[in-house]
Amino acid sequence: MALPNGCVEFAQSPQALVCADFIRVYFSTRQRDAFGKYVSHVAFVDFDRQLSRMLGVSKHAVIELGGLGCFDEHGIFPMSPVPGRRSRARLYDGVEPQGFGTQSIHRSAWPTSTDDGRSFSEVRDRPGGYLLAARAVSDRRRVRGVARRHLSHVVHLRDRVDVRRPPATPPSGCTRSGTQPRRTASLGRRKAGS
Amino acid sequence: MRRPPIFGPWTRDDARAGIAVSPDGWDSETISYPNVFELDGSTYMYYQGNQVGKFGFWAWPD
Repeated sequence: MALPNGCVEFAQSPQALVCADFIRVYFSTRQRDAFGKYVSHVAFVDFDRQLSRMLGVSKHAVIELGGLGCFDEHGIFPMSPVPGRRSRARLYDGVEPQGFGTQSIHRSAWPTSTDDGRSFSEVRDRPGGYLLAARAVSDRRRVRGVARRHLSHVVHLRDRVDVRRPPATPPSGCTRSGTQPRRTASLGRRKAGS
Repeated sequence: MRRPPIFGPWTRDDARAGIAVSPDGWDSETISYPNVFELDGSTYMYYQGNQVGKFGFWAWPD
């Protein structure tokens, strides 16, 4: 069976989702872009419940890659599928690799599906959109039960952006209304005595 | 404020893992990215093989 998006090799980060009649395994696979660089796409393969027979492979983009400048423009993997409530949506997080040499940049997001996991929409539509995704993860109403247990790194991310936490006390000397002068970055000459 | 680790410190003991790289084949060098799930009373673990899954993944029964 052919992989979607012209991908020809790699089946990475398998993530199983047990459905009523089959097992859906999401994975990340790669294509080469016009410059010969790898670009990762999310796909899935369905097996029967005996895990002995392949029922089919996705023929579409499970998640569209981000646009120019978005954190996921060069690939998406891996993911943690989580069944949603009332079988209305399934949630999972995506972590993004992009190679600059041997470096990778990883960001987390929390896309959702409303078509039983066939495709997912991302909480981002512009560069820096992962911050919006992080705020979505911070919504405690969406991080419950299974999600809390299985997506500890996402929960950790949530904790980092939890707006209910009281603001940290700034170290002394950094308060704007304090007795010490406020430090400002300056590229030019400083006034004497400042 | 940095939180203390929930688990650990860790001591590596590969013999307790119950799985290791195969003598040859697609998972003879590395096995990584485990994904454990339950199905009809059994526990399975998907994992990927050599070169970060270049040759695919497999389900390992408990």
